[in-house]
Amino acid sequence: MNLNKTTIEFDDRSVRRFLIATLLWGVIALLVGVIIAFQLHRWQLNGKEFGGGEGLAWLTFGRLRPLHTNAAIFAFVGNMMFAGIYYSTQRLCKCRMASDLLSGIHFWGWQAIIVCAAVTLPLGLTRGKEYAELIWPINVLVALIWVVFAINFFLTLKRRNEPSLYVALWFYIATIITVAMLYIVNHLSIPTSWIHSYPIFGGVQDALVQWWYGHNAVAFFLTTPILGIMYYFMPKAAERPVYSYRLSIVHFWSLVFIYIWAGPHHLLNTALPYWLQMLGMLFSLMLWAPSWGGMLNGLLTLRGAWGKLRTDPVIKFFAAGVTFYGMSTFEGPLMAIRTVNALSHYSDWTIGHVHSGTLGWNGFMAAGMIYYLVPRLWKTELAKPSWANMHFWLGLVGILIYISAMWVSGIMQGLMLNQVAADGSLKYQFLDTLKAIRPLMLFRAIGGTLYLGGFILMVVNVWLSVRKKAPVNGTIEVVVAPINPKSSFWKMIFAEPVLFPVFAITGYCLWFLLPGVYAWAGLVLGVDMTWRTIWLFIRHKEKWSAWYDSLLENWAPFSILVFVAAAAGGMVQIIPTVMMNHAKNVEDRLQTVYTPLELMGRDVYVSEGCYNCHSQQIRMLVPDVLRYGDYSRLGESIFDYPHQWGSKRTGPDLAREGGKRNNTWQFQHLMDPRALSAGSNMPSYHFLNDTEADLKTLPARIAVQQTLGVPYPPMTDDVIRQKAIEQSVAIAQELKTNGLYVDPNRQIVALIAYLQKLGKFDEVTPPEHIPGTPVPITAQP
Amino acid sequence: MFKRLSFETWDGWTPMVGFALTAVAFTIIVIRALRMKKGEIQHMANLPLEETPTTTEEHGH
Repeated sequence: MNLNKTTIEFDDRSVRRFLIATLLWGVIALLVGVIIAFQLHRWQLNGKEFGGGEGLAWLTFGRLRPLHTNAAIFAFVGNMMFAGIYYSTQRLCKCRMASDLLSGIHFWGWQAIIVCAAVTLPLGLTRGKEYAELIWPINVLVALIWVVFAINFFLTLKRRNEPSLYVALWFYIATIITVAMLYIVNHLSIPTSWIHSYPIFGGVQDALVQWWYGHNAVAFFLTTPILGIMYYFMPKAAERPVYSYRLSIVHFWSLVFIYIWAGPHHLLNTALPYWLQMLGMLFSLMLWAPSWGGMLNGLLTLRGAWGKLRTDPVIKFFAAGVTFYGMSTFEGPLMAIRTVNALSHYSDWTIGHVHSGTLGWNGFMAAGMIYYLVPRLWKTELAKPSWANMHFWLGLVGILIYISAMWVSGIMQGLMLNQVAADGSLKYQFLDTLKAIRPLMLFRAIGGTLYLGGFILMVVNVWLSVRKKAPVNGTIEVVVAPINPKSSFWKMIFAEPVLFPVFAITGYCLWFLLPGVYAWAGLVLGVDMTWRTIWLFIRHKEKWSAWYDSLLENWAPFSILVFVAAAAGGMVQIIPTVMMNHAKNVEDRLQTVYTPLELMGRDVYVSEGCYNCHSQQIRMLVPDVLRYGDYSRLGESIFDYPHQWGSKRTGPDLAREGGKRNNTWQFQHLMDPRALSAGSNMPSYHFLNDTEADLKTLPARIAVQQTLGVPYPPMTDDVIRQKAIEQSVAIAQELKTNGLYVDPNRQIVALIAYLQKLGKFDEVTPPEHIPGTPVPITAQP
Repeated sequence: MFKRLSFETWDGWTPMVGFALTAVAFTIIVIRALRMKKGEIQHMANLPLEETPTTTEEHGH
């Protein structure tokens, strides 16, 4: 064989770019987080204290919170992840990234996406789904840039000079494939204009798809890439190999397989079918094992290097980061137990849990990686090592204050909301609980400020370290020899270890999906193939082992198997729910279709991000029913595109708000919440009384709703507008009788119309059940 | 197709089947990991440490 020795220069410019972007967006994400944390304590910060009269629209909590979450996830962690992936992939593959052009497009494209998000979200342009708020043209750009990243990454794997794929690369592969799948499915929409669309899923389907995505955004955007970074950078920093490579294999496969099933734990005790809730809870509990396996593997990698904790900021941040990973992945499954969730859900406990993950795990791993990379990417030393130490302590104290405050706040509010007096009535009003947790909101903001202070210290430290220093690129001398996989792609796919289990699973699926005799045929196939799989495994043990070894050197079939493992959970949960003919499968209630004006009001509600503080889902829990009314049925939100079940109650649930109070109360409350609800921290929505309702696009919106299956009668554009005008005039007239003069063509009128419609439904009789045919699904066993 | 969705037993055994499948996948991968050869393990675990730490000043790539 002709061995050609050559020196390869890595593309570290891309790493530096992503690293600098991480620092920049990190400050912005944290700063916005601190602002909204203070807003919850002091409502005037929604713009009033910046000279904005009663408040500024673009500064309201509902608009800024999506900016904070998107900036933290996609801008801060996204750029950090890309820096780590670009740096470690080149070194593990012993080759330069495949294309400098693609790396450049990836970097600048990603920054353009972030800038677009930073502009559109405060303007109220949103899809109204958590962590999936960006409007559809930006979604398309995200998908394109992700594909560019994927092509660049996989081409690099193809051109590598190291035959084996280290475990960090497996995690990167899982990230790229699964995020693409999640993002595309959850962002499927039909546009009504360049800045607005409706998701193709509605009601329970949308809730399920959303939390399949939302939960796995945490899994595959905030966890798997960082685990890859952990498996690369921790051994480097500790100067010793990973504690157990065997454990890392188990960690990887079990994590990828289990994580994807756990999404329904975000919808416990709701109208979601009971079997999905149980599945979500069980798989969440199973996550304990791989998560802690990974954490222990990370911490034990530091065996013998613990002495460095005192002096090396990199080790310090990594050790604390991995510990926070362990803490939050212990807490998560705990909160996914239905009874615990009854108290924790919709409360600040969840917020504390999320932040122990993002600030502790993501933020500290980012800091450790940055302190590791800066001296190497600029061939320098850290200007102020003591500042790095200070950063660590500020960050740590900040997180502890933050999550402690949220634990106390969440548990206290949960307990107060659930307390029932001896006479069967509720002991506390919602506002009582809000007032009780107000001081804790201040503590949370202080904790966040400390963390931000530490982060800024790092930014200045990095700047002091690299200014006037020339950037350097890593090089490596390698023997370039073509890597010839032991088996071809097709041989890897059409191999016994893949085919027989696939036949078995297909058989079981047919048993589940088909009626009568076909179902039994599927069962026979499934059992037969299961038996054959076991028999072949015992007989061809060595051959199967060789196949697996070969798989680790073949990135393409490896990636496909990762996709199959990750997609399986989603398909089992989503396909039955999506394919269900929902209008015929509701229980005893079917949502009344919105009038044109109410639909417009709903779009205002979504645009203002009301779902960030108000749920629309009354759980099957006694305190929920006592406080808000009869529990929510599956059919009551079936025409909601997108669903607005929510995930947090800073304000009360609104599922049955319609008709509880008159239009005058709603108007006055939106204009000045504290005039009617003393102690409320809701922003004033006076600006909705100054903003014209968009009647022009209403026909297009209704047309898309009809396409999605909402049973609107045929209406011309003029009829649609006329109906909207008539209803808004009627509301304005009613307000006028109470001395309130409102222009009917204002957003506030449409929003009132929507609020008054919440909870309206038609009684329906479920079709009689014929054995062997689909029947209504229910949330209760 | 969805006949089992509302059967009471479905609530009980779906998660159990899910658990069993996962346990099987988990067991197989554990066996596979335990059967890996020592040399192979060492090679894989040392991959991040193989890099030669040399650098060059950036030029126009």
